[in-house]
Amino acid sequence: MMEPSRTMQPLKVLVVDDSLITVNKLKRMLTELGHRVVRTASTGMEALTAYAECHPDVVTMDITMPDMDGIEATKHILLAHPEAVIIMVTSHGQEPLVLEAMNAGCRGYVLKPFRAEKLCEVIDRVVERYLTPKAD
Amino acid sequence: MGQGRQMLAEIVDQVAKQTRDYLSAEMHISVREIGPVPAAGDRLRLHDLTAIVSLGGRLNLQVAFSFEGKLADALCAVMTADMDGAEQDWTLYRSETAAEIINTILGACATELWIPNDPPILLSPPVVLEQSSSILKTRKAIFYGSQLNTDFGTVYIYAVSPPGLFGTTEACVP
Repeated sequence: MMEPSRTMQPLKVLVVDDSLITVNKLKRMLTELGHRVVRTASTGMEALTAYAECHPDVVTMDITMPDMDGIEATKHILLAHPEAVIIMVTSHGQEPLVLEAMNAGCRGYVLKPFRAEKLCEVIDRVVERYLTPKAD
Repeated sequence: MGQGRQMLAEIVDQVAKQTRDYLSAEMHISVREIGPVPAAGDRLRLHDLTAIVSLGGRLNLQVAFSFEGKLADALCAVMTADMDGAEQDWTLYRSETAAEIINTILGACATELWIPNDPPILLSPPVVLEQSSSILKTRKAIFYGSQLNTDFGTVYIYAVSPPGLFGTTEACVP
């Protein structure tokens, strides 16, 4: 049984990945961490629509997808919704791709294969930094 | 061995080792033996389930993981152990398992093979073929194969350059 996430309240999560296996895995892990997967999308194009319709707190985003890749989708989502918090979940660990994703505006990066503990750590760090209101 | 085939052999060797480590750590399946696939003959045999990815950048090749049926089933069983409904959509989940495995392993391999200051090695989305067949090797293609034997069956790893032998047209992304 996983420890619940340290974030104060359950997050609404949009999971974007063309792998049914990864979508299922993330759904299970996120639910066990106390969060709620409100939508899933299997292409970058679907992700744009899904984000606009459900306004999640956090997006997990794959890179390699048909139609539109995750880095491009990240740019488009942030253009329309600058407040979006996007975490890449991908098998791509090459430095130029990580840099490209960060420059596109993603807030965190999780490499496959991943464990729940790593996912939790990245989510907590991202939420603490980008979603938690700071005291004046 | 020609220079091109030597390069493919080195790449396949790295992929085979990553596959062995992945199968052990993530799937709890031990690889008993890794060996070359005989190069003889003008046809390449694809087994019950084959996942194919194109790698771009300086590599410019296709890699296929061709699984014997029982091994594909064993891998799917492990991958979907915590998933409801997988038994009802076994064919779909079996294909998704093969796609997930090749994507994860080749993503890690691309990270190892990438040379600093080079453009990234891009991967195409996996394409999965669900039945055994044999394909004709074209004269222009350089080919190398390795086989990993487990208690559940064998996975054959093939690399071919230039890409196109497997007839898939997925472009490398991003």
